[in-house]
Amino acid sequence: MKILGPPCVVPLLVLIVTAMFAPVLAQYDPLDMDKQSTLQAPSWRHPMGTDQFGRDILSRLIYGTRVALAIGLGATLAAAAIGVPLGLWAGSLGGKTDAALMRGVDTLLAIPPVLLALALVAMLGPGSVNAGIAVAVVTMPQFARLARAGALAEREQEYTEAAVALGANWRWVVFRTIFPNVLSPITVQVPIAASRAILLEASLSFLGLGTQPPTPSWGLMVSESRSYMYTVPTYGIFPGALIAVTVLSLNNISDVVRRRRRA
Amino acid sequence: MLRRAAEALLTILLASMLVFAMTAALPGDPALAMLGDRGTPEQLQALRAYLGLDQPIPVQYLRWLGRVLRGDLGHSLINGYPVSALLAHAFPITLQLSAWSLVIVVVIAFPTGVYAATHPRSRLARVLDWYHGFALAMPVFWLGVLLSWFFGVWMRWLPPSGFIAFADDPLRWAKAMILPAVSLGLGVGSIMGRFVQAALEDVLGRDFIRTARAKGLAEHGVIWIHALRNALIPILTVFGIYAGFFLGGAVITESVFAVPGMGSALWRAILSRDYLVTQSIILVSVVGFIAISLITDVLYAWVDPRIRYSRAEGRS
Repeated sequence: MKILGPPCVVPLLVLIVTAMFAPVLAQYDPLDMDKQSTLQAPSWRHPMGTDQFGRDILSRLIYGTRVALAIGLGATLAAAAIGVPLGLWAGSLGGKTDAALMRGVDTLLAIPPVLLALALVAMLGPGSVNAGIAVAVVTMPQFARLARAGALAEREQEYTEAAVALGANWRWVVFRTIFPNVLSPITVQVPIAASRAILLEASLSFLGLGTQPPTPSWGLMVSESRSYMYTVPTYGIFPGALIAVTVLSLNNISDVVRRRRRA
Repeated sequence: MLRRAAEALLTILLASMLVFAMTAALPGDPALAMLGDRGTPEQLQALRAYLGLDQPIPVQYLRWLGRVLRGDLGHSLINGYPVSALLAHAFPITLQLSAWSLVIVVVIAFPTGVYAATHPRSRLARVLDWYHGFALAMPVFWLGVLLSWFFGVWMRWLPPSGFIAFADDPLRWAKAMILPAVSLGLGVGSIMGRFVQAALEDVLGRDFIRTARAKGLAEHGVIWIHALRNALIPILTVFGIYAGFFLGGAVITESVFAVPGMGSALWRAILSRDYLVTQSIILVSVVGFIAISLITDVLYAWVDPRIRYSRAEGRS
């Protein structure tokens, strides 16, 4: 908290707490339909109004936080968990293994992220889990590249050579000597990758290829609101604004961490 | 440059394997997975023969690649329409949308970037920094929905969705293109705005700018002629990369505004599990994206003589 400075982490902390305590914070069940009160404007009873099935929009947004964070942060961590060891392995070994692995990584990086995610979802089929896998695959090459660049630089350092000279095995050198030294740029990358992952998941859900109804998802809610923009314009404004605030918060955290690193 | 072209070709080849795997990796009988319960046993047999499923996977890939290189991208499994004809209709529309979006990017990036670089401590520069932050955080689809609602439904200034061909009515074509282009270009405009600012700040600190000022040149001449011209080279490179990204972003924008380009064709194909159309559109988009990156690299070397000199020296 002290390192990052409070303002930029507050929205993210609020979202994490919201996701954890969704059943306590939400006034209504996000799936409860009320045919008597469909498409209502914001009121005391429903602070953000209701959707086409009479479901409370605020409650759906609160539960939607779980999907956004689970896929956004989960996919990012999965991408880092695969990409970082892969990059470290390629960078520390060098030679043909490095060339072959990085050619594959570069191919994934050469495809626009949305297209790659769409290709994967087309193959796996729509759904939250498949969208998460697609987002993780799209995100993974960034971590692999970053870790490899770090490993290449650290491999030449005297302390790495000293560890090798002392007879440390390859795994120990990579994970105990090189890894702690490449951790810093990876830490900067995590929030920015998470913000992109949240945007990508929301985009897939908006297109009907991510989270499927009736599960509440922010992107899906914006998509569903399109048919009712004439009658209840506020319906689509809240979920979109929440995505923007989340992404802005993560981008700010990344900026602050980067600035601190440079200082 | 030949090496760069060979690298691009290799990337295209690897990407084509990935795209081929989309259908080859379908569980069970790929032909059955593609057709589902839509086809007759005869159609199923014909599709199996077309895909060459009785052959080993590498042979299937080479046969598919051969067909693609001859321009045979297959037929839609839904309506039997040739994919190449579908692309011939949809690609120019996506190209028009991308060109309009590039105009929006230029209109945002250069004035904001130049102002922020030349007035770094001003209040407006700080406001612009915040604006870029918000623009980058805004989901493209949400922005599209808001623009369509506000300018199309509420104000009735522009059509909320749809596409009019230029040949039918140039004015209505332009009006229909504005909202999708703004939706697609706003975020990239902010990325480029920050990049223009950074590139210009870098150039403004150099000796030749100090010399130009010492000679008594007017400040706007120093910035727009001397500084910006030198900052343009890296800006153009990044510009090329993001122009390629419009191909991906178009899927969302075209679906929001019902623009019948490649993006909405891809979206419909995925939703209806039309695998051959999906595969072909993704392949064409990826090849297009890599080709744009390569062209940008060629332009970069052509615009900046130092690159050619250094390579020539390297060779000798």
